[in-house]
Amino acid sequence: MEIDIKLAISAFVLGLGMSGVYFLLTVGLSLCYGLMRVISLDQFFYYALGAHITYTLINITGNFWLGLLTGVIAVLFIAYSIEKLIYRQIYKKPIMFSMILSFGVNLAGVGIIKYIWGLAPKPVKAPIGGTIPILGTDVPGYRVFVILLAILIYLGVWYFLNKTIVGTAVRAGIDDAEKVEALGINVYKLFTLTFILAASLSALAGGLHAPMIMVVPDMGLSITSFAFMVVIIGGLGSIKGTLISSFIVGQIVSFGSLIWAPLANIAPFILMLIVLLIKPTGLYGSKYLRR
Amino acid sequence: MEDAFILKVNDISASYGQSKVLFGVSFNLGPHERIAIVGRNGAGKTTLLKCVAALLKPTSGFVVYEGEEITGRKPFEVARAGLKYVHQDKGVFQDLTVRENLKLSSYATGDYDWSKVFKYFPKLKILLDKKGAGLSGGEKQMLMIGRAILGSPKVLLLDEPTEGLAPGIVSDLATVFCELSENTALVIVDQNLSFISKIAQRVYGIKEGKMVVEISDTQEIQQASYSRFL
Repeated sequence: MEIDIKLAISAFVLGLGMSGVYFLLTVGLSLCYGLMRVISLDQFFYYALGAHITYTLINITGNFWLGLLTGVIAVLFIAYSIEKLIYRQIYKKPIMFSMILSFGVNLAGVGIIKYIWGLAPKPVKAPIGGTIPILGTDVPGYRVFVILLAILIYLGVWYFLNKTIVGTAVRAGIDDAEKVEALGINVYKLFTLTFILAASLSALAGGLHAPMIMVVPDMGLSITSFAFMVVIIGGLGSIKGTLISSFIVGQIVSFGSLIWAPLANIAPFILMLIVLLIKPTGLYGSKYLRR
Repeated sequence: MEDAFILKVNDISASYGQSKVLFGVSFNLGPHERIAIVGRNGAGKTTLLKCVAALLKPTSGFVVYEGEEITGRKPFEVARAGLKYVHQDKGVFQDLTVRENLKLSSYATGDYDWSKVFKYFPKLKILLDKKGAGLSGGEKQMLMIGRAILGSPKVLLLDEPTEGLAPGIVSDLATVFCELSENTALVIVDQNLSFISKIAQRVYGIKEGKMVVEISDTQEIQQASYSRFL
């Protein structure tokens, strides 16, 4: 089977754009599990909420960037309240509590979105039009922007975790939160910080993804399985792993749809199974991560 | 009148779910004192230290530190107040370098004077850029204790500090603990009776979650005559 080179380049860039969205959505999921040992399914609600707020603000102000920023800030405050009111009650409980609870928050949140915004799909116009020629192929400028922004955010998160003392405490907490607390550090502040960082990135992912898809209340649901595959393949708690697996899954989905549509859904699962068989902690998951 | 004890543990009971581990355990610790708690595996030694450090909530009883009851307080508050617990499993942060491990403790305590750490453990100075995962058992223990003494704690709870260490390192640790106790009171949980006999001024024996013996006679401690109770 032959694939046209221009089509391949186009698919590659399309895949990179998806990888960028996957990365933004999953880096928080990965950090939440790594540090707090919770599975935060409500990240998909923040993703959908970010997209809907972006859509509404564009309609009111005509400014995409203002919409994106408002979505991120609104979600930041909502996530702060949810962490304080709900998550604080379950940090010391078995992981199943967090799954059930965050699933409930997600369902309730999506229900509220449906009530406020309705069920009809909503289009969002890309703020950056035009195309950029890459190796003789014209690729959408907005996709290139999303890719660059995702790389920038990866560098920002990397800098935070590796070069700041609070980030060092988060990394130590991923190893063992009790020992961080025994040093005299308030781990609950770290939990709050990580949770709102995760939710803000999810909202950013939703807002950025909005021009590439139709905005619907259940948009989080359609990306859930891919997000979990990214986190599992990359390794829980590792942002480097999340970045690399986002890239891999994005490319597999993109090229899969080009070769044979069902492959886009099947291939990431097969890859995940292979990775789990060879390295159960994922590509970059820490063997020191304990439950 | 100043209290003779910096730490008072009163009638502590604790359990993990339905399984009761401690049954009304009490002991006191004077400032600059070195006491040891000895007992077999599963006797409840670690559980007791975790209750004192507020890492585990006792089912009954209370802990008084510097005249204030600390039961139910958050572990980080207790650590900041100067009562620190050094974990049993040589648990340095594996992915962090020695420098980062020390920085974290400095950040928590506001004490950036690492000279006291290097005074006791000069080897750590040359290991600053080595990751926790690459350290030997002895080096990990040095780092754990070095990390804990930043902020000049008033009480250190040391859980099995000699476990798995070579005899030479154990002997060095005994010297360090004796020097440390000039400023810090120590509660040492260990099964190494010859080590305990060198450093402890008072020994408690714990068996099946109950204190079964208290020895404060130096000669008895050195002869480890309490071992018959364990």
